[in-house]
Amino acid sequence: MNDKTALSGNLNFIGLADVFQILGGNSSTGILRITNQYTPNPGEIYFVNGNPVNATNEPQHGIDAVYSLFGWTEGRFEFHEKTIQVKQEIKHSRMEIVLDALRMVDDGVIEKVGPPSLDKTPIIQKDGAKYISGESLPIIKGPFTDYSYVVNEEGFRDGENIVKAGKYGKWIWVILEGMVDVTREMAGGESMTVARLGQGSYIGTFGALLFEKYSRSSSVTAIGDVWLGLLDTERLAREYTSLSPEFKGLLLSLDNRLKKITDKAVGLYTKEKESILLTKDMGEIIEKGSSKQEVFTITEGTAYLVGQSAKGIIPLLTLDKDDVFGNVPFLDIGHEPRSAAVLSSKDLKVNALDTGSLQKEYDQLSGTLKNLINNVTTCISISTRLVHHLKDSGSPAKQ
Amino acid sequence: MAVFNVRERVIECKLVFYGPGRCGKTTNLEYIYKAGKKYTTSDMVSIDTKGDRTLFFDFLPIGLGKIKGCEVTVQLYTVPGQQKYSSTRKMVLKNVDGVVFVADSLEVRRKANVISLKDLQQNLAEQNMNIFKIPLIFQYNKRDLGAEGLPILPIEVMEKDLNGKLKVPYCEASALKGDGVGATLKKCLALTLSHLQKELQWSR
Repeated sequence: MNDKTALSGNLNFIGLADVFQILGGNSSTGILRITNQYTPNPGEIYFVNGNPVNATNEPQHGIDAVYSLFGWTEGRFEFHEKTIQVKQEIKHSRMEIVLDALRMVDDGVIEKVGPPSLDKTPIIQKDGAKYISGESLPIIKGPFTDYSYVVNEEGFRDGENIVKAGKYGKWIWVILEGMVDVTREMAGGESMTVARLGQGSYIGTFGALLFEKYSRSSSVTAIGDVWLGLLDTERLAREYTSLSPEFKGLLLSLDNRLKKITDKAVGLYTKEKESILLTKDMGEIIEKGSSKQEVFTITEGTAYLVGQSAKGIIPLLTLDKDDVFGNVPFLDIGHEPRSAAVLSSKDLKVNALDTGSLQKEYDQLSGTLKNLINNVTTCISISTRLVHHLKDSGSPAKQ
Repeated sequence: MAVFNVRERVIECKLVFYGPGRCGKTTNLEYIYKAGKKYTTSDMVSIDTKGDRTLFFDFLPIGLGKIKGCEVTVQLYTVPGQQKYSSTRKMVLKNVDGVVFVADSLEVRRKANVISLKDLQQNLAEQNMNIFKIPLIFQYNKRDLGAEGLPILPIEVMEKDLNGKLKVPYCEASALKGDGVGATLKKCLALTLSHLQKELQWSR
């Protein structure tokens, strides 16, 4: 057997066009497998002597599959050296494919698959009040579910309540079919849709794996008929318990972020007074755009996460004791360091974490826990975009 | 920077023909492809980008000698001029080793030449490259049109417009007839290879 990973990486660092040229230049033979968190199945391209001969990206195959994969702007690729025995469906030359695919991307013929844009999210008028419709939110999806973690399946009818905010419950579901709206209830019985989840997304987060009571912060309702898989929480909890305190802290801090950034979106929506006051004496502990691989956990004091928009600085959330911040190599939450800065109070004290050992622990996690982490990070990044959107468009007046 | 394929002992360098729309970039490449057919190692790829076609082929120039025992192959590209083709432009200009700027000699295209050169500077800067440092050649194309009575710009004017600060070599050409095409390519290759050799010695 001659099967090994010869090349792997991130598509937002090395694009598919470059990968094609590297494999072509080396006359490589094998399978290029591409995965991302927005599609349930991976895409595969088969190379013989540096030239693509066939490909699949369900339901497409052959040259159409290759072209569609050029629309994947984010995700991971892995090249396995292997003898290829598939039918040659592709007759085009390597460079012809690359140049034609890029032209189609620029012409808008190839659909881009990446983080959904909220720039055009309309805030619509309903019953006199401005309101964000779930329909205008991007659907957050996840990769294929590992069925060995599903202990039961349940169906919910359109409009049925799956989770009620404030109630206790330790179930985590994965959406097998259909979609759900996550809503926050506000004073006066009004509710705001904060996220729309689809196939492969999870309902419930790491908090459900703790021994303590876990109260739901949002409500979840079926939009159309939904089919859910109840996860083996005990098995996940066992895995969680085996993690280092640092890694557990990181996961709980992610949960906190999701809650806080959602609170922020709700606050902007209801025109609450800004609760985070930035002062000049705050130091910048992580600069926006910094590439230093540093991760800290707060032992004392407060740090402030600050984003930047066309209309100026947006305070996003506060980080307190036990919260983790920095450049975590395997997380992309649309926050620091790439898209936000971290400011510190005068009394901030932190402990540096070892990013290498965090990465090692992450690599050893089960696929399901990894997917759960990715799902939470995607939700954080979508909620952050919602915050930017609400801030830029001026929060709607509450009636 | 060129690609070094150690396994096959080949240095692959990338030359790009840049210039305003309809200035003759594709005519240049088509002529080279036809004239040098026995030296080309791939079919010519022609992509129908709006306004201009994007062309590409591999080329094995003979008589250039070897660098450090490695054969030198050349990838020739044209770049689509239209703004919206940013992905293609980015890919083509990435790690480019030498540029031929094809300028249109027609008087009416004077402004278009200047705008396109500014675009080139900007696009190179986006790839962290400096137009003043990269091997660059001007080709003043369509010189034959003067004889047909069409108003063309004198060389001195084009030099002043485009090459005043850059001060790089230039060639006159009539790409449709093939005049000056080989000379341009030769000059650009020589410049690119001597630049590469300099870089190699630095890293020794």
